[in-house]
Amino acid sequence: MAATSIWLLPAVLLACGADEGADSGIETASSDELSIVDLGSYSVNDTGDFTGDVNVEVPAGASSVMAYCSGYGYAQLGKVWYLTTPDGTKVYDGDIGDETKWRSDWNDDMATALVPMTPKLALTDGTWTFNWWIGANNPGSVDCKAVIRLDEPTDTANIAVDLVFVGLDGLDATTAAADPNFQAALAQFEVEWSSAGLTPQYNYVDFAGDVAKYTVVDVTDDDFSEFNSLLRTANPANDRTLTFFLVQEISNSTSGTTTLGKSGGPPGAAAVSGTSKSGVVVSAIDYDSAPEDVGKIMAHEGGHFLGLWHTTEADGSHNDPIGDTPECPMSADANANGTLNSAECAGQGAENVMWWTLTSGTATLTSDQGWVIRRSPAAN
Amino acid sequence: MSRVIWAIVAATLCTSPAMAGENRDAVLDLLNAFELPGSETDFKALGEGIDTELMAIAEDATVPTSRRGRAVSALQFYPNNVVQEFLVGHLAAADKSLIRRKAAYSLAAGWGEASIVLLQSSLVDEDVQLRIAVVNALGNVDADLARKLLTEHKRVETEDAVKTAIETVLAKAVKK
Ligand SMILES: [Zn+2]
Repeated sequence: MAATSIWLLPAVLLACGADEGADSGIETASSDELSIVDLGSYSVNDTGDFTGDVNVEVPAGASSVMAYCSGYGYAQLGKVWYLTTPDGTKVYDGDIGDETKWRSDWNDDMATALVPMTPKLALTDGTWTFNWWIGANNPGSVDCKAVIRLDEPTDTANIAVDLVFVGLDGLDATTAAADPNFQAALAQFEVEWSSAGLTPQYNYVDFAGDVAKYTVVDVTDDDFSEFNSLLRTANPANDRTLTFFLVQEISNSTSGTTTLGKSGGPPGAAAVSGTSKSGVVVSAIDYDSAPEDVGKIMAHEGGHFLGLWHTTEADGSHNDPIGDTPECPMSADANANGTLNSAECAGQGAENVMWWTLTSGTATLTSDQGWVIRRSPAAN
Repeated sequence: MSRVIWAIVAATLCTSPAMAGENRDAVLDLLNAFELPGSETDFKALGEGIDTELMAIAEDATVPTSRRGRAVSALQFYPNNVVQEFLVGHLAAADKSLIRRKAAYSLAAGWGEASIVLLQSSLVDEDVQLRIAVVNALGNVDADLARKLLTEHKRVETEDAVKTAIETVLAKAVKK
């Protein structure tokens, strides 16, 4: 789960209502396979407010939509509170937190949403209605857009992957292609994603910004500005790219501890560059001593970016909305310590790429997880 | 030999990789978490002797550096004399920079104002990333002495990234 996840119901939620009606979409750019739609600006009360209904018109044959509202700042959090399908069914309600078919999480600056997250809720043509909640002390309005993928995915897919090297000792865009350890990391990444029929195609890039600042990406429990500003530098040749920033470490300076990897979102801002959610940051300090672990972190965080969640959270509080992933119930907590560990959940999700903790051996993705990630606007 | 040193020797002897404790797998599961490693509650729920296990993992060269660092971070939840000596040793040692940084954070988190004197000399270490970590760690110590030290160090610091870290930490202190 994203480190920004804070499952707090905004105290003023019930006092606020939706405001102006939504413009149903002004198409601003398109290609044969992607349509970028400007959904308009929405006023929000600075005590915390809903955007009101934001309608996304989905054409027949479209395979996925990544919608977002942004520009509310790094100190505020936002998420989708309601999602309604074209037939009028409310499939997500933040008051209930129903996660059987869909899920939304708190994010600063840019609240992303992806459909589909499971074959149980495929994208159908018609008007999909999103309603975001934007937290207090926001600037008074947010800008919303959508990326609609128009082409039909196949059983196998490619995805462009930019590998951006930031201050790793002995590893840069020139040396990485021939570095046996780094190639071992990529091999692990590839084999774990191959179970989902997704093949990465690499572009090696040296970070052009302030290396001293971003070699260790410092975040705190409530300030992800350094992480966000690094992701904003993502500038791939093609927007349908997943950018991995390979830094020495992501460090949480509140607790002092290391985060192994963190995805924008999740889900990430697929096929949108230059935003605070446009990629993934990986702590790659172990690329030479434990390269397979670095590959596993890439596979897991890339999965989050493309719309996957943990199969089961460590505390058993959530399962993903996917039907064919194993779930590990709290009854498996044999030592009753409140954590579902890998041994307790053997055969019940611990072998999955999206298990909450890194395990030995090659993890896999299920058929339905593959179905989801191949539909991402970032895949091709 | 002092009791503290005896305790360190005992801990080291008892925690060589070949003698990994029965909690090793459960502790490593928490340290291996992709995003957020275990909380204090998670580690404490594993029972007694976890600080010893964490020190063993932190010194186990077969464990990836990031996870060794996480073990050092988790030691902040066990503020006893043995752990303090262990952390001071790893802060000063010619060890991996990441391990040194985690030791700095854990000393600040576990010992508060008493850690200032332990951290002060690392503000002038040649390792820029360690200096940034010490700045952040001192920023977590809510004490006038820590802020005074950072203000004075900013005048002599040559690296922009460290100066920026000091400014950020002091600005947050003013907001409080
Ligand atoms: Zn995760």
